[in-house]
Amino acid sequence: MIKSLSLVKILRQCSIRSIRHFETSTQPPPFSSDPTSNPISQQLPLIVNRQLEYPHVRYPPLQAWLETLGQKRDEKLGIVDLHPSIWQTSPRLDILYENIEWQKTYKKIDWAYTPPHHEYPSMRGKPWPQKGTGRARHSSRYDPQWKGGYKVNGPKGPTSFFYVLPKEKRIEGLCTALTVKLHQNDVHFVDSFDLPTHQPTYLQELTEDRFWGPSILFIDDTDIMPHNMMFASAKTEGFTVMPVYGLNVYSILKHTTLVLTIRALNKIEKKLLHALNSYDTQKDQPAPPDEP
Amino acid sequence: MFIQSCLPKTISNSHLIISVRTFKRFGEYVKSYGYQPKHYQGGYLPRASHLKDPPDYLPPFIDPKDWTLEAATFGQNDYIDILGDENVEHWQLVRNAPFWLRGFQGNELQHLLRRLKFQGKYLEENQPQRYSDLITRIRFLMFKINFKHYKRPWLMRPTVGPNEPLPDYYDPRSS
Repeated sequence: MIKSLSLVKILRQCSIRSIRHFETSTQPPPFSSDPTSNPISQQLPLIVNRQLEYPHVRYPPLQAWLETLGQKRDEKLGIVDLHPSIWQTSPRLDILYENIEWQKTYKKIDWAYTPPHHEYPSMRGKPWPQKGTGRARHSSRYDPQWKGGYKVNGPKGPTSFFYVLPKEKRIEGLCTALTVKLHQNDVHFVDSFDLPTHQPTYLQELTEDRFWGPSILFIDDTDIMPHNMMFASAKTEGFTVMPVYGLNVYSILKHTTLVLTIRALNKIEKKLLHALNSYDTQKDQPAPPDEP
Repeated sequence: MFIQSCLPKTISNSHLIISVRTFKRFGEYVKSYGYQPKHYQGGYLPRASHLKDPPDYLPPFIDPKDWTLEAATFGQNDYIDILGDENVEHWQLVRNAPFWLRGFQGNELQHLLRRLKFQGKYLEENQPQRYSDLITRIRFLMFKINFKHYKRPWLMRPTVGPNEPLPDYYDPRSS
C-alpha cells in the first residue's frame, strides 16, 4: 500500500500509451483466461478510475496496488482508489470486541441440564431412623449433600443467548476491521480469481513468495467461483473462499490476509456507503413468529 | 557404630532416618542375620481383576482443528443483512437451537413458558412425564418469585398502575 505516491510520478516512471477506465458498474474482466498467452498483454499501468459515491469532505481517496494471480511474478497492474470513510476510520477496538462477542454468543445454545428435586426418584423415605444409629440424621437419600443427589441452582435446560447488535455498530465494525487490515498491509486487491492451473502448489508458492501469510480470505462478488480457485483453496489449509455477503469481522480478524477482487470491492463499497449515508427508520429487527 | 540401613527401603514421605548398629561379615554390613521374611518382596503386582477398580485414564485429547470448514467459515453470514439480502433476519441463521428458542432470550421462567406455549399440547399427549416436569417447575418458580424471599419494604419502589398518574414528588425513603 502506498500513501504519498502521486499519479504524476507513476506516469513519468512508466511509459504508457493509453489508460483503461473501470466504472463502478460490473463489467467482465479485461484479461482472458488463456494459460498459453501472456495474461498481461494489455497496456500497463491500469489506473482503475473508480468513481466514489458520497465523497468524503475532508480526506482524499486512499490508494492501493492492483495485483494478479494469473502469474507468479509479482507485477503490479495499477492503482485502485479507496473510499476513506470505509478504509480510513478510527481503529475502535471496543467496537471490534463487541462485534466478535456478538458473533460468538448469539448462536450459542447451552444444553447443560441438572434435573431438579421433583425429577429424582422418591423423596419420601428416610434412609435410617432419626435416632439410635450412630450415623448422621438424613431425611432423604437424594439430598444435595449426598453423592448422586440433585443440584439446587444448577443449569436448567437449553438456554439461548440470542441478541442482535445494532446495525450501526455492525457497519462500523466492518469498516474498522477493513481499515485495521489495510493499514497493517494485509489487504491485497486482485483483478480476478482466474488461475492458469488447478494445481494447489501454484497458489501456495505464489502466496509464499509474496509473504501473504499462512491464512488467506479470498472474497469474490458471487457464490460461483472458477474451478481452479475452488480446487486450490479446498486442498490447502488456511485458504477460505467467500462471497461478499459472507464477509464478517470474525473471519477478517481470524485470517492474516484479505484478498479482494475489484468487483467485490465495488459491491462492498456500494452497500456500506449506502448504509452509512442513509437513515433507517426500522431500528430493530422484527421479532420471530410467536405461533407454534 | 551407627549407620543407616542399606537394605531395600519402602517409599515413604517421612524424614525419619533409621540408624542401626551392625557388624561387618564377609566384607558387607548385615542387619538381622538369619531372618527370613515371609512377606512379598517382589515388584509391583498386576491389577486385581476381581476388584472393581478400573484404571483412571486421562481424558482423550480433542484436537481443536482451527481450519476445518466449519471453524474457518465461522460467522459467515452474520452481516448478510447489510451486504446482501436485507430481508434475512438473524433468528433464521440459528440452526442448532430447539424450535422454541430461535430468536429468543430471557430468564429460566420465560424459557419454560415459551416451551409450554410451543410444545405443551404435544407433550401432554405423547410425553406426559416431561409435561408434568415442565409444569411443576413453572409452578415452583412462580411461587418462589412471587411469595418467597421476604422483600425489604424500604427497598421496594412505589409502583403505579397503568391508568394512574405519576406522583409529583420522589420519596428518597422508598429506595
